[in-house]
Amino acid sequence: MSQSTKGYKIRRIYELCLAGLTIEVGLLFIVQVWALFSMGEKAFSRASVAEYFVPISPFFFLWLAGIVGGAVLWQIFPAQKRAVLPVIEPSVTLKKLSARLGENYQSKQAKKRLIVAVACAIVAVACAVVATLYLTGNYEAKAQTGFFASHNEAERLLRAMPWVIGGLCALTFASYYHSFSAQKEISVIKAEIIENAKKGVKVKKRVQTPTILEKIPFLKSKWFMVGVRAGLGVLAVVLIIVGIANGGMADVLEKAINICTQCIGLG
Amino acid sequence: MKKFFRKIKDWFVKHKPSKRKVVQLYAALLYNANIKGFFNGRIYKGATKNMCVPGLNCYSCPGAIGSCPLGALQNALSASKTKTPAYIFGIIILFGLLLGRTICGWLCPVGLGQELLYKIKTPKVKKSRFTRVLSYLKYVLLVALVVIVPLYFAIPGFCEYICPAGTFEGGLGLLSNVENEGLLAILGPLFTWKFTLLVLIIVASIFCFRCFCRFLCPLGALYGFFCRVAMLGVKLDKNKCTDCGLCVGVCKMDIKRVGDHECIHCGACIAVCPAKAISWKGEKLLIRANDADMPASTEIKPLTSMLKRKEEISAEKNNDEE
Repeated sequence: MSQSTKGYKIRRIYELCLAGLTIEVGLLFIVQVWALFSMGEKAFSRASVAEYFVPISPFFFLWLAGIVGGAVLWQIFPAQKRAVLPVIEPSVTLKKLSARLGENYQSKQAKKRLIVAVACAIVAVACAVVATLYLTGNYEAKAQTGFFASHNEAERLLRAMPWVIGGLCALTFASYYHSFSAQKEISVIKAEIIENAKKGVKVKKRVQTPTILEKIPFLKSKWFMVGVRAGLGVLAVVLIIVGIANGGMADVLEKAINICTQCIGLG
Repeated sequence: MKKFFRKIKDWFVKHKPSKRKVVQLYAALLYNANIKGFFNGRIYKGATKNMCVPGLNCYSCPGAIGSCPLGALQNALSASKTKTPAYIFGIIILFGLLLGRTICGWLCPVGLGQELLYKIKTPKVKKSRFTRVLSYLKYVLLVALVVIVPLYFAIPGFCEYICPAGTFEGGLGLLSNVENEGLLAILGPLFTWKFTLLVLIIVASIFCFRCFCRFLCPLGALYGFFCRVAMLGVKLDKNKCTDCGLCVGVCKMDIKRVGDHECIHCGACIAVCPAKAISWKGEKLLIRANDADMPASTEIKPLTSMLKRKEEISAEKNNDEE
């Protein structure tokens, strides 16, 4: 076994062990804090925190030692330099390749991609609307005992969450379908280009339609950007002055010099 | 003995932090310069808290000398029925215009913490289409917790339910001091939830690069709107770009192209671009092109194939013009 292969195997084993230990230590912290919370009202005190967290401290220190050990291990068995692999969006490759097939090329997959994209967008928007209704509507949480009894807004967030996840799932599906469909079309186009080359068929490249930016050159000019930046700068300064005048700045100070109980978890 | 000390010296030279890391560290120390607060367990009450710091830094941290822009925004929106939140809007527009998401890459202590955690040697989760879609979750949190919840319920939704900076800097920072023993007694379900989330984010950051910044941070989402107009950051020269994809390949964020709303302007892409199409905005004023944050363990694939491709593209362009 060569030195580099041996080093690679040792590093991999170390990485997997440290990953397992990291997850274990994280879970221990979470389990202990919930166990402490379940002791009832006023469960948190210096003594009780010590009682629950001191027993897991050896695992934590072992984890820290593992991190230091990893740094030493990487010096003994240094990792090989990895080449940077390019990442090109399939849509970019598809656009370039399909242009080589000329004006008459009609994509069969494009319609399917559009239908899937529109359908997933509709689902995502519907999920967003429902989630917003749960957040802002007249829904009244029933008085319940337990974790969220005194936090109506927390229960609203919990009810909105599945809809947010649903929307994200729809968008994920659309993204993966787009990539899969584009890859499929790319292989078909490549085969067609090779076929054309073998037959000696010469196709005039399709000229790309200019974008809105290209149709209005002023939008790409340096002065447009200077104007936008100047406008935003003036707006920012005006808003700050207005804010100082109407007491907004004083409110920021007032909030910042008192402990934000919500921020630190006191509610 | 000399050899040993030389090896130590070589190790330090090889592992010296990049300029970006040093700037991040200075920013984190500057935002939390009230060292006295860590000892006496009290937060700073000085006039500098009128100003917001650009990055995410809880103002309940005992060391914090400035306000958190996200917390200030939520509080201003909570009180928006009586007062227009002009001041905080102006501050955020100013930060976005001047720096944009360069703040995330250079001036945010939470980002620094995550990058240091990512250095721990474990298997890593690579970016994919799924992480790209998940990166839009932070916009959902921006709308739901930073805008809707403060407007409708007059509470800082993100600070209360999610923000790990508040739990770590404010919560643990204050509660660890003996002076604040009284606060321990009133901890309850909210702290338990936030502590759990903090631990999950810390563990996730070890496996996934900047997972909080990519998926959860509404401040990054807000600054991302300024990606085109921000005066500092990386820029792509489309005339020189050959679409080789190396910049996207080397980037650990979920970018589609350099300088988009996911780009944190770390500069790692500048060194790998074979066509030298990526540079810094404002480079004549502030940053030299060779101050990029090049990862130490990468090498650029043989340039010959990339240069050949560049020649092919220019030959095609010439043919088209004819």
